Amino acid sequence: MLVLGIETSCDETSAALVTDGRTVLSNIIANQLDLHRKYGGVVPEIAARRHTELIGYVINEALDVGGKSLTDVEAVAVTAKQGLVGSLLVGVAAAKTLSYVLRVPLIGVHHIEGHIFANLLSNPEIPLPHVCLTVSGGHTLLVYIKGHCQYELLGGTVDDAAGEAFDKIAKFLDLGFPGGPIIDRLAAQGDRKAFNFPRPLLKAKTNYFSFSGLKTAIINAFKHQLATGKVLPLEDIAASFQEAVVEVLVTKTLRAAKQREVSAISVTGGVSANRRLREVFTDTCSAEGIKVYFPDLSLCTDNAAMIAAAGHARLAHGQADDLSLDVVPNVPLEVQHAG
Amino acid sequence: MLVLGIDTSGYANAIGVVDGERILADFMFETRNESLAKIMLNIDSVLKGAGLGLEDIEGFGVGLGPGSWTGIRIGVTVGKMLAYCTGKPLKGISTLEVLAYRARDYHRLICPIVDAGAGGTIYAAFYRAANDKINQIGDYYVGDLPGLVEMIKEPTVLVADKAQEYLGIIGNSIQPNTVEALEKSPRGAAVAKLAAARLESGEQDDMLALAPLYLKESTARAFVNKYSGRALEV
Amino acid sequence: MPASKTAKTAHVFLSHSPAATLRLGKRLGGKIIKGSVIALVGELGCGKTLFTRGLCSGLGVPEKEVNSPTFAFVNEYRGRLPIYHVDLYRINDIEDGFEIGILDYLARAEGGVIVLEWAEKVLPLLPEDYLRVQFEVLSPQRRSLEIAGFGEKSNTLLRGLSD
Repeated sequence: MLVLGIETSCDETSAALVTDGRTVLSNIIANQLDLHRKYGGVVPEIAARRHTELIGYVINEALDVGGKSLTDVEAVAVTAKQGLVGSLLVGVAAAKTLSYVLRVPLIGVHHIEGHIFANLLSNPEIPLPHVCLTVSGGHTLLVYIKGHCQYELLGGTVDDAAGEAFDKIAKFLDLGFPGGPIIDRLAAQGDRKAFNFPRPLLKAKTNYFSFSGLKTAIINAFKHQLATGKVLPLEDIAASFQEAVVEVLVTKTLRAAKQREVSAISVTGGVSANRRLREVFTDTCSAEGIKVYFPDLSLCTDNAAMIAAAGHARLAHGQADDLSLDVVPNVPLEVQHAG
Repeated sequence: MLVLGIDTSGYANAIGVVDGERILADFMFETRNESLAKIMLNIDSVLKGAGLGLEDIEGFGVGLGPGSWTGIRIGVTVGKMLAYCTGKPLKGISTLEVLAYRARDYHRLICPIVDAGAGGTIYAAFYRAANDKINQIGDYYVGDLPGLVEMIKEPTVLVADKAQEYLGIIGNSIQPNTVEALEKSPRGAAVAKLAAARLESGEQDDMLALAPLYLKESTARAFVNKYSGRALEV
Repeated sequence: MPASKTAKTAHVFLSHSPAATLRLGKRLGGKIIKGSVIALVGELGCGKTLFTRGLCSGLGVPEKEVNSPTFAFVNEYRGRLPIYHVDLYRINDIEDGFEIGILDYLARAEGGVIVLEWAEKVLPLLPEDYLRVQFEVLSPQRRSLEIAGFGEKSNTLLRGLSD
């Protein structure tokens, strides 16, 4: 089945074509488009307006690059749950119109489920059940995946998302945006033991994460360095900060996996692209006899291919939405039973 | 030309169908927060009610605002995708023009007004009617009602869904009978008629590029100027 | 509408710890009424989200449900009243505020409560009546929170809090 996926839950406007829930024919994310050639203007930075202005282009490009026409589309999947209302509704409005005109099934997808499927797209062999950590700028979530589309929420962040911590620290240290890749690069040249930043909730017997305390610890350390007139070793701060985040993410995810007695861990979301995170997860998990999986880099950040894949799975289970599909900005990932 | 017109800038999904000058259907669905949920169903019911199928439609018109941007984005996105999927042409029309069009029989200067939704700020413009057509005079206005009234120097008709309320606020600040109120909301059939006229003469918009009519710089400046006294004081 | 309005009353609260900030937020949450607009102003790490968590807890929302809407811009919670938790960290100016639909949220929040972190970025868009909480970092643990009421409703709220 050829599914056209649309994702506009946050900052990225994306459309994709995926066949049979596994082959990505195209995955267009707006910042990759040559916008000046097509659009000839300055594209707004933020959310909803950008989506309205880009949605036509990304859909057209997805079809073009995928070598398909509108009449080949057999279903439309769109992020309808979890995100900013003004952004989500652009994708859903487009998807509903497509479904109506083309007379094909429509399915609304939860953004986090999209991220879970991003890894399944890259690694179809991930066994069930497994534990999945979704970690990005907007989310830090630990989920137990029992079976196809069957989720149990284990825990999440009680304050800041891990990716958000990267961005805020990077901005605070004046390193630029986006924070994740910048800190990743800088940390590679730094001493991860230079500072012993706190690892919040590391030892706590809870599956919940907290990163705002770590954020304030860095801010305090920075202010202290400034006050004492010392030279600021940005690489060391980056490396030590990253190490703290990585240690918490890996330790707690592994603990949850062992508790649930699974043999596999899936790590997905924008932060799953982080090199140190991948390194520590891989080393730690192999020592424990657990296999860890990461999505291809192009599928880590928000994208429509993952939505198409998730939509396909739902459709295959006989689910579909009708033309009254609406957006739901804040809703936990459902516990849903297959078929 | 059979044209479907949509406007979602207010608290309703306004949908209409015209055949050139002739109105075949014109409906307002009061939707508040359900605009997105209802829009496709509304369009479908209007078409069916007029005995038409989507394949009969030869062109699309869509209201570009100003108004509630969240709502406008729904209409603009649906309009774009309808045009894209069917391959039929699309024309965007400013919601102010759609309102002004409804007063084209008045022998007065026409002033449509849309509420910006916060702090008493309004969007407005001036139009003159001639031969059943209307033409915009000058630039768009973004500011408060008193500021708009200062610009009125001749008999004018205000067109807005809150026109009577605005008249009440203006009160005695202007000569009696200078300003009249016409309570109207943007209608789908009006959008469709205005779009049809342009589409018939070969004028259309790039369906991928079409965007709401943001009154950008003026909006921000208007707000900042108005509230500059409220800068954060230490 | 008048172009500027100075605060009728302001009160400074001292918080000795994150727990104290949380408690103060909770106290405010217990007293808050429909249509309240709370503007939070202060640097990174000063406790805005923590305070909001307390506020939401005072409105019956479990603490765990309240987290940072930095990326989402807005989180919505259902407590005794619907709560709109806005974070303007990522926006650059008022224009961006429009684009994310701030006006729509302010309108919708008349039936509930809206809390805005980094509110100074959209100050001109706030209604005449709002409560401003200005945070100052005194030490790694301690904060001062100057709460000012603009408008009758907010001043009444502040008086209730200071009691």
